Amino acid sequence: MELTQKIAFALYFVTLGVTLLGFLLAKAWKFRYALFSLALGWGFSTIYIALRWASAGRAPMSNQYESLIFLLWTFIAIYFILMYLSAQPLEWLVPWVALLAIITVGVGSLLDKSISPLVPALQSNWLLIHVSTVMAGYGALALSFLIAVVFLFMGAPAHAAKREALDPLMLRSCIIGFWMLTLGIITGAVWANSAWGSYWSWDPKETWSLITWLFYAMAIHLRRTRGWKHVKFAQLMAGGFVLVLFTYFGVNYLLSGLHSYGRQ
Amino acid sequence: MMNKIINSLSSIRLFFAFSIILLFAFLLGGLIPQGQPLDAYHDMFGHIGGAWVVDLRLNDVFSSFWFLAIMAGAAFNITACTIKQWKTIKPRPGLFLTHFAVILMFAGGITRGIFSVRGSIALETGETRAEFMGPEGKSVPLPFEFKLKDFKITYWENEKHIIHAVKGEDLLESVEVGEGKDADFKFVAMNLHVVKFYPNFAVGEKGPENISDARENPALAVILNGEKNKKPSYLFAKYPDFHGVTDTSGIRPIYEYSPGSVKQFESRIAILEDGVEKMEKTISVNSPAYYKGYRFYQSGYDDKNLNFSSIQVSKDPSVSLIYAGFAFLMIGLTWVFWRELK
Repeated sequence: MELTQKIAFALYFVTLGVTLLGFLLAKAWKFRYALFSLALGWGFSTIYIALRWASAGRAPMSNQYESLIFLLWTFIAIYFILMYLSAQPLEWLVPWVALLAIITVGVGSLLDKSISPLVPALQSNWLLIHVSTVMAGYGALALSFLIAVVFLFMGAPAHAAKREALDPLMLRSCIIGFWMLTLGIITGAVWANSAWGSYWSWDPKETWSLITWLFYAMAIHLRRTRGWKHVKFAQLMAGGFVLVLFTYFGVNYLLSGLHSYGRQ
Repeated sequence: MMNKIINSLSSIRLFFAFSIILLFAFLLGGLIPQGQPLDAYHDMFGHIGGAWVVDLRLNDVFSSFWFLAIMAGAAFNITACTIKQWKTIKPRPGLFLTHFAVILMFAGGITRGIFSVRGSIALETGETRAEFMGPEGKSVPLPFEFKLKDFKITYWENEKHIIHAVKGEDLLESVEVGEGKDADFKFVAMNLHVVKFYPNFAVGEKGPENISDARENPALAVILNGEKNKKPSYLFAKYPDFHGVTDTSGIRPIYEYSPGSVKQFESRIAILEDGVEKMEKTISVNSPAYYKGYRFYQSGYDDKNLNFSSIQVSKDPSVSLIYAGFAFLMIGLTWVFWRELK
């Protein structure tokens, strides 16, 4: 089972390597093969998640490691979906996607990978629904962050056309992420009400997810009503992701509350 | 004058202002530990800082007057904005639904603040209560009686059985054992075979028996020194001195039961009215009971007293409003964003 994840990790490196090699040799095929390698890596990651699901007998979303692997899976999946739907060529983003994938798997390697039985609080169908939607939301917002960072660093006039193509992509990934995050917060509230009799307890995780949600709601309103596009919107996407990271990691390790089992 | 007030209340700039203020308020409540005693804040922020935290209600941000005032302002803002922009919003149902949903959630929050009651009942098996402990420790009466008939904990399989080889006061060696296995002592010359594990040992009419899966009296039936033709001896985790089993070299096996992770804990409860049982249900975490607007949630237990159960009680008429808000919000966002993504 662990072998499939190692193969996925290796393929993300291959993706990066192929791109670099293609740049050095000035080859047109670099993105085509890099994309293929990334897709293959994602495929192995899918197998890994499926094997873990089968081994545990439940959805692999009960601790930080499992949720992080699922977040990465959705991050890459949403990139492929947006690339397919977009009229603009976006293959050139593939090395950045691979880099973030490598960093994520690297961070995951520091976490507890053990498959443990579920504590009573997590024994619910809502576990799959709530965690998957929140992680998919984080994955999409991670993509909007990545695009924003690439956008902000692409200052050269030669890249103007590519840069222009990034702005609607930033918005789309932000919208998908915001929609998913909204659904994730809602499903969490419904679950909390059925488990503890309170849909909202101002638990640190709930409070920080609301902070993140309100930030992105403001970002979307600023774009719609004040015309905050391009650089300003990119800055919002970059800043918003800091909140996502704190909500996901910071709360688990620095603050205690009902979601403390993410620390296990 | 009235138009000026409405225009100000409904402005998008006010929305941004309230959002920023709310973000800061959420940050305060999200970073400063809430609901702690004064001494804890003295330890965190010093004597003066701790006093300020409590005086400014930063220790209870989300119930503080200033926070509720900001939320009320935000609620007025979105309501005024939705009314003022009605002509713009009307042909855009998705936009209307998202804003209406937020208004519903504010209304739900107000309803919850005024009409909801929450608290807990702590009782032992066989006990009956006609009230629960509400906020600030006040007793809140129930319109019926609540009885705990039974309480049970079940475990996942990863519990551990450990045999300690003891001579006098000295611990010589400890090994993990399992049902049907020999104790694999490496340094101690003790021959011990575990025949059977009893989670809840008792002596019945026909002899030793297991009366339930709850680990209330864990015991092991063991055979010492290969004496297979003899009746097994019994080791009790809760009563290590009871069995008096010793092998020929004076070494005593002491049984330690290490419970595995808890699988589930559940209470069998009953609702009575005028002494007549109206409902019986087994509740567990994620599986509450409902009766006459009240909800009963399995909350906690005491692993030193397996007859004890803690039940959370809630009566909250805001749930329907909130859930309606949730539904409209998702429908509205889907409507709005679908157009954007197309």
